[in-house]
Amino acid sequence: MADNAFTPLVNPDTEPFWRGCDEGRLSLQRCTGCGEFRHPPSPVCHACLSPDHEWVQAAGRGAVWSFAVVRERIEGWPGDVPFVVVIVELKEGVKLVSNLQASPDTVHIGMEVEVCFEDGPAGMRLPHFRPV
Amino acid sequence: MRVPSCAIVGIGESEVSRRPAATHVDLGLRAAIAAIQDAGLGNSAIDGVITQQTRFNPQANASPLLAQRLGIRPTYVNDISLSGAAPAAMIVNAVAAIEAGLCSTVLCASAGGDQPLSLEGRGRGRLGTGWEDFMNPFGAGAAPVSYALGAQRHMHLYGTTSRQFGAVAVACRRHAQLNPNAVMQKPMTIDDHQASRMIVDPYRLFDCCVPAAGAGAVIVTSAERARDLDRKAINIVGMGAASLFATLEHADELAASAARGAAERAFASAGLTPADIDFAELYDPFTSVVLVTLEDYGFCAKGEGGAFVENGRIELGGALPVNTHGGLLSQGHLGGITHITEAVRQLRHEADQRQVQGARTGAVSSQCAQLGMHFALLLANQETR
Repeated sequence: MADNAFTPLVNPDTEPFWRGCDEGRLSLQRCTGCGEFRHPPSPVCHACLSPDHEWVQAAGRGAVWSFAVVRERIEGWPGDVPFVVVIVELKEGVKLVSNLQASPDTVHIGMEVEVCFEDGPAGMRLPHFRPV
Repeated sequence: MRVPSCAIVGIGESEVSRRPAATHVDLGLRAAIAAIQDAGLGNSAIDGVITQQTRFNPQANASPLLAQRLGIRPTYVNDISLSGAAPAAMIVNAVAAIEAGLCSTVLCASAGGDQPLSLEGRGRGRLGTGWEDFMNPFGAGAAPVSYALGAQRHMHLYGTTSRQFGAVAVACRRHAQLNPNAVMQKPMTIDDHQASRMIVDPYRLFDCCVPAAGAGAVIVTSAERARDLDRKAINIVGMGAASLFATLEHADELAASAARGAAERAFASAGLTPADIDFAELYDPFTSVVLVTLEDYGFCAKGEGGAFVENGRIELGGALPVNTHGGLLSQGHLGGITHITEAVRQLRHEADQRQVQGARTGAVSSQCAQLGMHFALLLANQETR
């Protein structure tokens, strides 16, 4: 049960994603109707509306599509500051929001990154990224 | 019997069970897709999406999110939050939107289900899985962070600078100083803006709106009734909306927004162009949003927003005064309602020291979902015929 703002709510629609993280795998839904990947998880495909899908282990590689360096503990952020928020464009063609484990001075749009897993709240593991 | 303007052409239902077979999001999608298919349509034929909010733990921006899940980019959305009255209210809203020319074919979707029986846990103030679960764990859920990601794209693509963002802050502050009902009254120069501390790169303190408490309200009536009321009625001459995405992951680009589609429709519905607009009250949670909106409305080319806001162009006395009341940035974040009340004041020529001389037509913007969903209004006083 989520008891603070930073713990994700896990439910049947999203459980495979978070279980994958616990096991060190970045998992993406892929529509078996048309092959389109999607993120964040959703019960149906936004391209063809099929509910049929599989969970695929993503390559874990991508590039920084945008970033923001958070310097204050906005809304009670419990971790250290500064920290880097990124939107990563994965090799599979979908984007994902995450944190970058790198100095804020080094991050730039286009930086090649790979996934890593960090301990998060409530015993969960979170997908983060680091420069390749 | 009255000749009907609208008809129901599709219906859908999910399975109904004592205990839920799936999450309310999943059940809702099944019903929505069944209705679309029953109508013999695909998702591309749907241009309006209206949702019934669950009574407890409503999902913010539920209709743009449903549209995103279904791959729909509607020109009208609405969330109806009336508990048991919502179902028929959705149909009434759909008819009104169709009759107003905002859309032609509307999905009215209810993903209710009695809350305690849902498979989802009870999260902080919300029921289902929305965008928060894939943002909040990374500290990206707060507005300054999610919008900063868009500002960064604009700087990357177009070389926009922090000083250019600052021109928006300075303009709003100057206007707030002329508005006794604005919370920020201290002068701000561009150097003050540049010296203010960085909150989330590239946003400095003065790039962010200020919290405030306050309310606003508007009365709308028919043109015929307005004539009878002997008031300085301000005409709603153009309306348009667009929903491109609800979550950042689904944005093709964050340096552009749904403002473009909304404004195109508003201008087309009014028979006006950006050149006809005398001032603009633009939703401004952060400075960069104003640049993107100005570009997307066509006041300047995409990417030229930085240059456009410089040199006083958006200040009173400039070519296109923006946020003459101080905006969210300096009047305070009241949700944007006072952008409308201020536009009306300007068009009534009752804006005192902050009056745009000879104002006849103004634009107002409202938006949500990190620029993914936008409503545009064009207002004009009676002098514009």
